[in-house]
Amino acid sequence: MTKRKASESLLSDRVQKARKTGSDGLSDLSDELLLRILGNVSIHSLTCCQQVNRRLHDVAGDAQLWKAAYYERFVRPRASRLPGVLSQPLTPFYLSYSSKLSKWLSDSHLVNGDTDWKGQYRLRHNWSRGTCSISEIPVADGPSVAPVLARLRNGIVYTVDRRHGLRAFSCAEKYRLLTSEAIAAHTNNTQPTVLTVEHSVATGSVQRLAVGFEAGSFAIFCYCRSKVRFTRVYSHAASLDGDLTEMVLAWPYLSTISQAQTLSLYRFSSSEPGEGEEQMSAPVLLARMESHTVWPPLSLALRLIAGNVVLSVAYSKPTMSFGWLAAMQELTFSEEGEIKDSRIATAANEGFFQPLSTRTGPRVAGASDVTFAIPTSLSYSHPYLVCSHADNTLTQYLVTSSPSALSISPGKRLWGHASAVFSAHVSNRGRAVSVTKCGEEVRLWELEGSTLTSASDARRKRHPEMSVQVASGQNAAPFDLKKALSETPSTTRGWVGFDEEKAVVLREGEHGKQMLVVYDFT
Amino acid sequence: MSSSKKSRIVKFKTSDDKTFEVEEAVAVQFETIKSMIDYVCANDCTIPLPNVNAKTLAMVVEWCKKHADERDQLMEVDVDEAPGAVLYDLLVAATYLRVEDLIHRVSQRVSKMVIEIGKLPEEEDVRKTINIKSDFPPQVEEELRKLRRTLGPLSDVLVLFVSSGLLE
Repeated sequence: MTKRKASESLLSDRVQKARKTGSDGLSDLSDELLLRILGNVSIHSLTCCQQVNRRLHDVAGDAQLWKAAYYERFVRPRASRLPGVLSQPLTPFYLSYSSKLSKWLSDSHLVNGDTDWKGQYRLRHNWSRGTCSISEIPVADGPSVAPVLARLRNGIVYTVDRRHGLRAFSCAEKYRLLTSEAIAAHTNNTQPTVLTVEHSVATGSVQRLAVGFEAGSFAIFCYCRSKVRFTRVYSHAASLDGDLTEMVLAWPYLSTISQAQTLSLYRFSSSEPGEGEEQMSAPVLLARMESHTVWPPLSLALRLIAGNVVLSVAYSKPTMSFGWLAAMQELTFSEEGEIKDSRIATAANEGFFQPLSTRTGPRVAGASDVTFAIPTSLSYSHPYLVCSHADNTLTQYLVTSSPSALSISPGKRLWGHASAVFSAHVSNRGRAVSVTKCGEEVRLWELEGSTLTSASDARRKRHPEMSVQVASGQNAAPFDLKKALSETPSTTRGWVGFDEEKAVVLREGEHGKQMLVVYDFT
Repeated sequence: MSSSKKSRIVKFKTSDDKTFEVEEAVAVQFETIKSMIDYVCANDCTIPLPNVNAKTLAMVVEWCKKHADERDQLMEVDVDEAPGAVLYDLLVAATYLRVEDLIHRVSQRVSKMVIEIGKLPEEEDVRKTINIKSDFPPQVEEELRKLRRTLGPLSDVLVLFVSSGLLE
């Protein structure tokens, strides 16, 4: 208390002195020293300093300051995941901020090269708060029988429907239509049923897409970034299996699941040189499998590991005591399509494998009392598996896949939504986005670190909010009841996806008008 | 401190032409000087310090003496007692001599005093304490304030400047 008083009087002293001399000491200091000083202040003060004058604006916007702040807030709290950190004595120095790559966990890709650290910080900050700007891209004027299919990848939204064909919208240029390509001229069965975009690792300028149609035909397209155009590189004839319901593309492999629950795995000849825009020969059908017990929704994932192809099919299956539980089959193929391994795992809910438990007394209310409803959607991105339910909840599972075993952790309920969840998607960094069918409720979830240990449960109780609802950053118009009642609420028609910066949802408004709603967190 | 060796003396000349004699044990804490101590002592030279005045150097020496043995315990006191104006001089001196701990300590102190006034300072508060005026055009300033209010504390002012053409 006395100290504070002393410093205040010193302060006014200093101000008076500065007024007399007409200069302030701070401005005489070099940028380097200003950086040292600003390195100690909070983010709030930093942004406030940026408004003081031009010089402070530049210095307080320095990337290194924001990089350190980013590390403090977003990387260091997860430091327990550093390899070997638990065996090391926990000295403060070991966990202090550094540019060393190994200390940046999954954010290490940011450390090399020119990163706009302030931008990154703002992105993560907005994401954690659910603050974003919302924009809409109209994609279809009238109602269509099936909704437009859309996917988001690397800043481009790809859509496909019968009338407009394949289209690409650029997120960077205010969602301008980049190019379109008709799909009607090439195939007889023109109703597209599924669209998938390859998770490309930014190699070359070509993004591959696969479109599945009614009656089991599919086509491969290439989107060339430099020439801004689509090229159809391959068309596959219809099959007897019916509509394709799910597809996954990991070049040169393609896997499809049809309505008749037939799973096919194709391999294209991977020796395509250069641009990859040439016509391709027919792929080799490596494997074909049928199922009678797997229903949609399901999620396919394809990984290439050491010359093998690992195909994971995540689905849900009904159980006696727990309702619908997530399950997964993992198939390992050799390059020739020979099945090397096949493993099945079901969520290990407590007591599931032990009908006779040694536990006596009343059952503890918790995970074991829960029955799970049939999922409305299912998303798998290793190691996270998330199901959404019509009963306003989500279920989170953690998948462990090692050479020796495949297992799924017990399901964990996630509460937060106020109406039925239409769809939920998860990224491999443990970030999930979920949308409701009616209304426009979008929630963001941070699943990382929410594994099922008792320690984190205790923490959860203290911080019950694991998710935030997305809200527009702009000043929203005052709520108008009359207007709200006269408008038909838009319904969610499809899920598009999200990346580091944006989440995109397909909505249907009045008169069947369809639009993409983009939530931009930058 | 190695008392077995005969303690050598390093001489400094400050900006206001005063000569200081500093023990070697203290002088080695000046990273800038460290490597030249042997030469200086052997040849009986005086090291000029053109941007450090006598009063400030005395403070730096005092601080280094206190911290020669018991670095941690004294961290909390000392510089807090220094009046505001002196802090800047101290910071410049510490930087020139490269006394890392002192730089850290003083910069912390300055940021508490000048920028982190109260819990959530506003830009006007900072301007008042360091007595400078905004050199932004009024439009930019208005925009800045609006942006910060609507998009939370982290609006990107830089982009705005460039796009509005108000700043090059």
